[in-house]
Amino acid sequence: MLPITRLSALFAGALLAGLLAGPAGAHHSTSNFNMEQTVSITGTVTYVSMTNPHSFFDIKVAEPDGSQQDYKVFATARVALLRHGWRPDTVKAGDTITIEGHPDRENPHFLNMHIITFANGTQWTTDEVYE
Amino acid sequence: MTGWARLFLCAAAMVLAASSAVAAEEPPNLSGVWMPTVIAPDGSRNRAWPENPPFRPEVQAAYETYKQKLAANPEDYDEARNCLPYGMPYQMLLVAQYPMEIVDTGDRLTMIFELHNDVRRIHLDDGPPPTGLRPGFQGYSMGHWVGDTLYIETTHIREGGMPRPHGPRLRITEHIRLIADQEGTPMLEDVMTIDDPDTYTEPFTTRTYFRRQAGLEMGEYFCSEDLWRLNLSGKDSTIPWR
Repeated sequence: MLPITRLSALFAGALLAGLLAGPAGAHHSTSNFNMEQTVSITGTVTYVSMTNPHSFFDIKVAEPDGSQQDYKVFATARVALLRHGWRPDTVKAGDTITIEGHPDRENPHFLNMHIITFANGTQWTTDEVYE
Repeated sequence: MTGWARLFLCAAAMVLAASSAVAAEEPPNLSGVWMPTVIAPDGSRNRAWPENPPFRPEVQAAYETYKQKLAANPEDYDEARNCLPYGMPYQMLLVAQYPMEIVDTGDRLTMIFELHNDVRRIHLDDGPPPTGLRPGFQGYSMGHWVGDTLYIETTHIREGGMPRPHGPRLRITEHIRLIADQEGTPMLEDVMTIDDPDTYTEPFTTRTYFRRQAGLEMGEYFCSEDLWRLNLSGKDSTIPWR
């Protein structure tokens, strides 16, 4: 796995927003995510969809009150993840992972992944993908 | 050296010079894998698409309405999220992390895009489009070299709605050149003029750069895998917009 190159969340968000701005500069719109806000969750992976045009992870998170909350994490395309060192089993059901991501403006349990900490403690960031 | 020997050397030099001039006019072969980049050859940041394209007033109004819907619920308003291709001209303007491979065979320049596994064919010195040609996502591209510049004209592009509006009369001209960045890495510069009187009040120009990615393996981008998985399992998709 490639080492993490951590930019500040704010800078990364601005960079991403700039890359994806405009009708033709965009790949797919991420305007539903608040790129100026970052939250961190740790939980157990329940489902992995490593697919194009985007990948998704379902994560079950234990809330402070003892309840279990399901989160959905939006990640980049399978083809791009594979190019940047991922393998189909890099994240699998049962893994405990941490996600730092930007929440959907309406659904706080839907995150756009920025940094992931894998079960083995290593990290990877979407900054690897976006120039 | 005798006079004949001097004459011979002089003639040989002229022949060499002439052949170099001919060689210099040979168009470059653009085959290889290229990655779109926002970094211009001089290191500055390039914006491929204008911030405020000259929309016709009615298109501008429709675009503003679209943007409001998109902000609230992008998954329902972007066909590319649902696996439809971008097509021209947007295929050449997407500065994202997906490479393009060019296969340049002299009479045909084929662009293979990793994104959506799309293919664009540019017919070189091959006359006008065939009669009865129906519009398509990529349109019909005709190209020819003038010196070091590849001129391409693309027509027969299928009409498109938001977020990539264009009308039936869209005509695109491109000038593509092989250049290099400050480190000498080969780059492509694509200067595109978009003439679409049904969508814009006047033609405008975009500029995109691609950097050669020697050794980069193109990946597979099949977008329907999740749909087939649903078909097999009979379960609902875990992708929010399906």
